[in-house]
Order: sequence, then structure tokens, then C-alpha cells
Amino acid sequence: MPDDELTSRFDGLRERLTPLVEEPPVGAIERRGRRRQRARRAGAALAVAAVAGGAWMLATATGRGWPGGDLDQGPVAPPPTVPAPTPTPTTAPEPTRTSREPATSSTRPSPTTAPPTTTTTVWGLRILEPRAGTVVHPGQRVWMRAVGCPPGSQVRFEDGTALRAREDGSFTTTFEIPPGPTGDFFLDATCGGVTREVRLRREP
Amino acid sequence: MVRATDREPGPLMVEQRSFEAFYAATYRPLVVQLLGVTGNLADAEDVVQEAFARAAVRWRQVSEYELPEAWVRRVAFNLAFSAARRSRRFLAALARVGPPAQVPGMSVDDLDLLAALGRLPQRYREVLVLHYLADLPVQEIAAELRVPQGTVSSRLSRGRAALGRVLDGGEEASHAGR
Repeated sequence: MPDDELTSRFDGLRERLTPLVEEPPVGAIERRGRRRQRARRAGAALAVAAVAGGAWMLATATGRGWPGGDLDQGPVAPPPTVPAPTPTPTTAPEPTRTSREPATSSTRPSPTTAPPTTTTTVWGLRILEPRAGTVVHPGQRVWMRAVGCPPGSQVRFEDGTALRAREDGSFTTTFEIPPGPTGDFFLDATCGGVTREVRLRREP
Repeated sequence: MVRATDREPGPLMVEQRSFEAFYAATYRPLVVQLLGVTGNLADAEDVVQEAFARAAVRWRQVSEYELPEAWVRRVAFNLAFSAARRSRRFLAALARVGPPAQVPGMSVDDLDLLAALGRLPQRYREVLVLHYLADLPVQEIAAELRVPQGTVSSRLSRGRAALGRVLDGGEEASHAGR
């Protein structure tokens, strides 16, 4: 097919179709992006939970105990390393033998011979301040505090201002609420590929 | 990294405004280009919207690219071809019956052209769409697809010939691979 004819047909197709395409509001696209990001984060958290659950089951099955301690009481950003607790010597019960069985030594390893375990560090970004739904006003200075970023993370504001890393592992800053109409807006925090957002409400 | 986002102008909203401008300027042309790949307006809109949604959440990074539009188009193309790979049966049906006439302004010639494109292998469809619907020269197509210019010229030539055969009533396998 001649190039000119093809060019003409494609040009016609483009000219007729372009005005007919309806463009959704940009806000809808942004919400779709945020929903997708949240879904991906949830999926990642599920995967971590599945791996942790598998490790727990394995640890239980092998009798070594759970190396990460009590999950319910674990901090969001636990200290990097915690020495493994000294195992308590236990006395294995003497296996019952019948008179016909020869006396053999048990091949089952004693719990006291299990190798030392290391602590698993799980980071989870959380914005502690401001709280979701907080009512703010244009020009107001708001204090932000996030936890769960690994030490040494680059935590910065959009304008390049670095957030201050505190000794307790949190990152804090203050920022000014920009002017604008009454309504919801979002504050996002990202570190280590994990993003959290908090919805604030601006009122005059 | 911490960033505040808002839909209204403000000191932290420069990026947001530029995303809106970028979106307004490129959404429709990209949908028409993707229509050449998917053969179906709903699918074209869906993959383009998904690509823009991905661009929106990482706009700071994407906006620094020399051609953000090329990034969005690449993502949309990948989504379209991945979806096509997952639904061979749909493509086969599309090749048989042609794209649904869901756009009132489409002529029979337009439908024929889209149906013919849908019957071409991906490697031909891709360069034809980039050349004729995105108006890209061979050099830019080569850069966007990361293939040599000679490869693009060859695919364009063979794609034109294949499209001509299909439009003349011949058959072409759309799933002949890349």
C-alpha cells in the first residue's frame, strides 16, 4: 500500500477520533493512582505476613521458637539487633522402652543444641502526626512526625528541606499549610519505597 | 521523602499543576494511538488511564524525563500487549468481527483500518502506530523502542505491506509474536 494513502487514512482516523475522546477529570486519575499504590502496599504487607507466618510455622515445627519475639508487642521500627535469649536447658524425658527394644541413644537433637537465631527487622512507615482528619488553616504551621524509616534514610520535603532525624528513630518537620479552598488534601510520606498518606481538612 | 499534595495552587503545588497540563495536552492523542493497538476504545482508554495513574504517583520522577509522554505511552503499550497476551481468544474474536463500533464518529474506513491493524503482529502494529498516529520519525521510534533504526525501517516497510494485504482482504496472524 502506498505510503501517501496510508498516511492520509491514519490522519483522517486521528482527526475524526481525537475530538470524540472524552477525558476524565485529572482528579479521578490521581485517585486511581493512589488506590493502586495502596493496593500494592497491601499486597506487599500480605506477602510479608505470609513469609512471616511461614517462618513462624517452620520455627514451631522445628521447635526453635519464634526468633522475632511477640509480634503483637513489637515496635514499628525495632532496634536493629537484639541478642538471642539464652536458651534454658531442658531435660528431655527418657523415652519409654519395651523390654524387647534395644537401648539406643536418641538421634533427636536437643533443643539446647539449636543454633542461635537472629532478629528479623521489619520496617513499617507510619505518620503519627498530624492525625487523619485534622482540621488545618492556611498559613498554619503543622508539625509532622513519621516513624518506621530505616536509619540513614533520606527524608526530605518537596522543596528540599531535610527532615530532622531524632534519636528515637522518628523524623519530624513543620510545614505551612498552603492557601486554598476548604476541603480535603493529602500529605504523603515516602521512605524505602513505602508511601503513607494522611488526609487533612483545610478550613478558612 | 515527604511531600504535600493538593489540587489547588500553592507553594508545594508546582508539580501538580504541571501534571494537569501534561495530562490535558496528551491524554486524547495517546488514547487514539492506543486505539490503534487495542482496536477498542474502552481498552485504549483503560490502559492510557492506568498509565497516567502510574505517572501521577511518581510524577516527580517522570516529569524529569526528556519525554514524559514517551514514558506514559510505553507503559500503556506494555499494558495493552500484556492484556492481549492474556486474552488471545478475545483477540481472535476481534480479528474475526472487528472492533466494536462504539465511537459514533467512526467511519467504515476507520473501522476497517483498526481491524486490519489488529490482525498484524505486535512488532508491526507498534511501529505503524508510532509512525502514523504518533507522528514519530524513524529515529525517535528506534529510540523509544530501543531497537536499531534499520529494524524500525524494516518493520515499517513490512508492516505497510502486511496492512495493505489485510485491507485487500488477506489474512495476517496477529499473534505471530514480536
